[in-house]
Amino acid sequence: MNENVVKSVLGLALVIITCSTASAGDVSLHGFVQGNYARDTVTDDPDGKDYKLSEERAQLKLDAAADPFHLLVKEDAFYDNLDKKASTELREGYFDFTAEKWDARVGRQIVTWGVGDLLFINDIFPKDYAAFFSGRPLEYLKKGVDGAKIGLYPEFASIELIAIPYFEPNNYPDPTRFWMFDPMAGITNREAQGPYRDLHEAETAMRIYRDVAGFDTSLYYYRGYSRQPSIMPDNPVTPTKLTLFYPKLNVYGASSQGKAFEGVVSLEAGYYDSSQDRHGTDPMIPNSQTRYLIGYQRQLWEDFTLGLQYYGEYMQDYSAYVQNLPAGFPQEKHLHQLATMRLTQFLMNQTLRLSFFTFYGLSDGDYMLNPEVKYNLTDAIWLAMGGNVFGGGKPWSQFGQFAKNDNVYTQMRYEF
Amino acid sequence: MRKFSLVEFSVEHPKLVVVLTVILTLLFMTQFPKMRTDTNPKNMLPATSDVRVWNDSVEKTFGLYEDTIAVGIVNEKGVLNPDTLGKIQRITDEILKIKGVAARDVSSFTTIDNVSVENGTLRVAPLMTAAPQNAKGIDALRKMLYENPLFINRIISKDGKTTAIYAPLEKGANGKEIADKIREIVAKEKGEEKFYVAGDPVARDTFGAEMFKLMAVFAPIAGMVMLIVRYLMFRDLFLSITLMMDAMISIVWSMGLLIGLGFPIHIMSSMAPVFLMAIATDSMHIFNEFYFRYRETKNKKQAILETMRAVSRPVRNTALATAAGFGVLLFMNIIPVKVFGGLVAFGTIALRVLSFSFIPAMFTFVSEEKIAKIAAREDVEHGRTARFLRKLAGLGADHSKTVVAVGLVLAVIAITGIAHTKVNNNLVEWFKKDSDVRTADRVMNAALGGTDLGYIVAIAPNDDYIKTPEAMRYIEGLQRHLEKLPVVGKTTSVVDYVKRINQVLHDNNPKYDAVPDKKETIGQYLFLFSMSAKPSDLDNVVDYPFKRANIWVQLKTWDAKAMQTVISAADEYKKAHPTPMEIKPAGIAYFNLVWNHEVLWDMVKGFLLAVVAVFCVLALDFRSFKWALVGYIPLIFTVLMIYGAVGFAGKDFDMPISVMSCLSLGMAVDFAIHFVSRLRQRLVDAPGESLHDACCWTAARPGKGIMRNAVLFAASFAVMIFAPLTPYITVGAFIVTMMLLSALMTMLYLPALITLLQGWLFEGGTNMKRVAATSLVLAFVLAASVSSAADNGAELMKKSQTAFLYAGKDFKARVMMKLVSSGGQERIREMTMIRKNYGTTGGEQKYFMYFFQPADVKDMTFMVWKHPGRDADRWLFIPAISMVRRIAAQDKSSSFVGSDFSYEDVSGRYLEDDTHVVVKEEKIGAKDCVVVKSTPKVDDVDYRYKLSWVDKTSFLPLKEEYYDKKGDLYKAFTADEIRDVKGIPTVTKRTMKNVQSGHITEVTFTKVDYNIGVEDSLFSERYLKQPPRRMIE
Repeated sequence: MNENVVKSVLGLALVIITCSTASAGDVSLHGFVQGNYARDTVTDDPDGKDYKLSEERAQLKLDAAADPFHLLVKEDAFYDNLDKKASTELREGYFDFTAEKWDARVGRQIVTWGVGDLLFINDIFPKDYAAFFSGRPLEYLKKGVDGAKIGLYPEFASIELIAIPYFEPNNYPDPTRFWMFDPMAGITNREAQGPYRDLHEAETAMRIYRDVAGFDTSLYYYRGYSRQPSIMPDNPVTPTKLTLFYPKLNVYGASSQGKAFEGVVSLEAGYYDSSQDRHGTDPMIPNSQTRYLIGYQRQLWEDFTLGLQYYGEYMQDYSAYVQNLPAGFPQEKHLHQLATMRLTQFLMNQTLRLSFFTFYGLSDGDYMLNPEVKYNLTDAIWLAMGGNVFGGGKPWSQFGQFAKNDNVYTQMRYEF
Repeated sequence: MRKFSLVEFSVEHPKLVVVLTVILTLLFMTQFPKMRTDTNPKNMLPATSDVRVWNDSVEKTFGLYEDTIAVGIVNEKGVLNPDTLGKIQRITDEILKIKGVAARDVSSFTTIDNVSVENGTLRVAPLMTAAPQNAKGIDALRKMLYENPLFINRIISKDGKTTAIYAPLEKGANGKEIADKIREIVAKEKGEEKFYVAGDPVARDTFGAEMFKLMAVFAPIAGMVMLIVRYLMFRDLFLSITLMMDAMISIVWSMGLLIGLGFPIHIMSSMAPVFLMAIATDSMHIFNEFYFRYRETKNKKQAILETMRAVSRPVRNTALATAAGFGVLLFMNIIPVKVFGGLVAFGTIALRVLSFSFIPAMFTFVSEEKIAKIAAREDVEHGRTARFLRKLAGLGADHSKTVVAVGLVLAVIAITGIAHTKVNNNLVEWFKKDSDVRTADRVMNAALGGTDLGYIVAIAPNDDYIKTPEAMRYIEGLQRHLEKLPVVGKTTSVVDYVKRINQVLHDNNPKYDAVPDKKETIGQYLFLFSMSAKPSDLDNVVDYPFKRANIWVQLKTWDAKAMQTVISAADEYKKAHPTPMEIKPAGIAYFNLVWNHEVLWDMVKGFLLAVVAVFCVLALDFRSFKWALVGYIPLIFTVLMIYGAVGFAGKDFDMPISVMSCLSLGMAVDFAIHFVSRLRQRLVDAPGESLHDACCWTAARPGKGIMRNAVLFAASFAVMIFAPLTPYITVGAFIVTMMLLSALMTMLYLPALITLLQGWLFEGGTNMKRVAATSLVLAFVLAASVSSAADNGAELMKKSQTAFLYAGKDFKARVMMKLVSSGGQERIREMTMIRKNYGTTGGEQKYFMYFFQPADVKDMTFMVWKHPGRDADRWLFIPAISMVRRIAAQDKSSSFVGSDFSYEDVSGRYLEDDTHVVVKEEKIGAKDCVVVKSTPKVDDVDYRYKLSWVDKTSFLPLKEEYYDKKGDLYKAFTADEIRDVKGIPTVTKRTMKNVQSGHITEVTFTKVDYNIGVEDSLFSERYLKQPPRRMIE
């Protein structure tokens, strides 16, 4: 329903802008068609299929502008070979208004904050992890948010204010596609409480940024909800029914990125204020946390870049958490640490890209490896092949639980 | 591959740097209240050192005191009169009350024991209980005095005009404080008597205290003088103060560190501030060069950066050399020497860090007009100093053989002088001749047995041996032998008591003024004496088991070598007259000898180590042993000359002079480093110039800095010549001479040596050979081509870069890049490129690029902030995920969007990274071009050198060729179409071909425009995400 509202507003805007600017010729239409397939390599999916993903997709990108307005619409249409169904999806659709000292963007838009590479602290906007784990192009990790963004540009700093009327959760891998750890796997009676798609779930976020001593420095604020659901059993001893809900969350954070040590150094931290469980006594709601990351990226030789990151999540009120954790639940670490490494080598005048990305859980010993080869056959056609390999750690740890989901994927795209 | 540049950071964030410096300084300052001082020069040797342990044990055995003050009372009419004797009595009584004086052992008329016979028995009683009031009493006293040899030359002079009161000091008492109290006491006595307070503790502690005071007074005065001289040189108070602050801050840091680490400030470390102030003058070179640069660029920031680039290497290396020179002291034995070395080395490093941060930061606060005014006066050609220096260098270069020959002769003479050097140290002579301390010493030494005291301890193999006649006679013989030495005034031992008792017990018969023949008799006498005398009388000369005897040797001079002759004489005597007794020196005179010896030789050892360390630094800096050797010669020459002069002048080579040796090395090497580095750089920068002219240029320009440095240094240290302590005068004179001499030597001898040794210096497989050969060829080529004689490579490349990459205030074009592989496959990169200049050629630039093609990067934007001399900042906006992030890429080795252009080819390589040499002239089509060869100074790119064909009219590069490490052509650029846009010739079509892979990139510029008024705000995250349409179209 909401999609339709957005679409009709955009449609109207489009008509207006197209008409008014048709003569100026400021309308462009681009897009792509792609095939995207990911095949299991260890074992079939829980539902017996041997692909994580198999789809053909087309995107149309319409860009129209008449100062001070600008409109962009990205609409996907795809056919899912696994579920055997066709569908459409509005990836982005917004219009901009630009003034000298401020601007506004209204509609479905992708917002990316923070300085982490695939590690998100202050980027609290919705993600699609199912897409990420099943070998879709990276851009599909980000989901658009429906909302309004105001940019203010006074002399001393730049400010982004975002209001999202309807809460949008993250998209996690589907249990029919992915083997995952479920602490209460036996209870199948599950009910989702929200998102209600009403204004009670409105979210607000703010970012203030400027250059500080050569470092791009930002401060962040977010008030909304955790995009990961919490599970509430009806009875803590012998549960029969589970309710999924999204606890309140405030995030306060900062990041900085700049040139140092002959490379780029990134620093980011955020405090996750779990306002519904400030004392950490509720085992079903995550405790407040402090998250931080340090990243370093450097070109070591021509067209080869190394990126390293260290990430930590420090749980507040840990003793309260341990005390209240129901028996049989895996206990999280007080400090959960992670490291990542990215290697990128371009070859053949930057038409061939070899890349390797890995997560390694310093606390749990689990990992995810993602090697990929991408080749631009021509300026319009590219082909990428890669794999996702999971393992290590405990059966419930972040990447360890996906151990049976190793896959190889192919992306082919013709872009115009 | 440039590192984080402290200088640039400081220039960009001057306030931050200044605030940080101030905070750091305040932090170090917080340590100051914890300051402890140790003014006792004795502590140069630790309490656990052998000599101190031995002296302590001797003092314990014989109940001796470490230090004794001698108060001399002189009356030309003779002291034996009721009035003077009354005064002696009063003064003695007062002295006995002073805290810190060992009252029981004060020797004076009223306290000293006299041995006589009364009614046939031995009587030991004070010489005088009350001053006699009549002639009879006086006569009796005179008789008693003169018949007892123990008194003569000790408490009464032979002529009766001088007497002395000896006040031994309790351990830890301050000799200066007690001496001051005694002076107060004697000042109360009116009359014709003269009073003198003398003794080692007076000199030593007075010196320690004075030294501290002087440091507190002198350091600021020297600082002020430096400030004034700087002001006179630069006429800018702010900058002069800045330079001063540089020194002050480093002093605060190093002293703060010293205090913070818990070391007391010792006399040696109290000198560190002055040394640091001296070393800080090296930053003069930054100033010197800055004004020259400013004249050239007229842009302050630019000038700062260029200055730092030009002088950073020599400045850094001089700091390194100086720090090394002092750092080696850390390996010495004497702790205060170590502390001093470490302190100055740390301070030197701190100074350099400040030179690269604080000073450039402060520069930015000075108004441009002011700089312009000062800079106007800095002229290489016309300044008087510059002309003089140029002539000096010319003299060296033109008459190199004569100059070197004269130098050799002087060196030989100097070495002869050094051979005459007398190693000696005399604490008292650290005071001026007419100072109280020294006068007192002179008077008393002339009249009495001597104020300096050493001991010769005879240690017998078994108890009671000392009582034997042979031991007694041996000691007596030794005493007589020692007394033959001119420096020895009087000796006293247990034998003197035995003989005195023998004589008085035999009715004062002079026949009995001898050692008795029997051990029993001697034992008996000594027993009798000990029963009635003060216990200390006997204790002072013999221990209780009669195993050890102590001979007091009073010396008439504080020369350390005096004790040396005593020791030699004792050894000599022992050799000639074998004895079972061991003979060992002790006492304060012995301590002074050892102390002086250790410190002095430690410094000499340090100096030799420093010579090696500094040579290594030089060799590393110049990357050539030959150059290091050449640079070293004026340095060694200066040191030779000075020490030769010291030798000829008959001045003792003492501790202050030995301390100077390290400083001289550390400072004088600076000049050589500056001169050689800048000369070699000049040879590279101005390849057409002859060696002779390059030497002259170096002498006139960096040489001016060297001269200023020397003058400044000399001026501030000249103040020291007026100090009341001779070591300061020595140090002052030494530094003034050394600075001026070594600056002149550098300016005269380096050109001479370089000219003379050029064949040897420039031969071999080093780069220098190539540079020299090229410059010789070029000199020929350039001479032949009059028209372009003025343009050297660097200037030409600068013009070329200005025309090619810095034209207009800003620039915009639609850029179409066609990448064609050797197989013929084409790829297109289409973008709008916007550029804005911030500063002149080589300065900051910002680039904004918006991509239209290929489709997978459409809407991508890319921003570059280019900084001169270091890697650019780069941001990339990826529209698919709406993310702006910095990318780590290095200018020198990164292909621009996969094309054959590197980032540097697109935005320009920093000119100072290469040496540019004009190779030839050639026509391209109808256009006259100059071909410039640019060779990277550091091997940081994938080519060895580049040839550029620069159009003589437009200065655009019409052709460029890149040669790889093997010397093969691998990349070629051609400007295929040039159009005038708004009057600016612009390369609108160009090609870069990778000759080895066959890959080609063709670039076409359309919609070219200049000076469109690009706003700064364009270069921001906001517009990266939403590029303004009217700009990118």
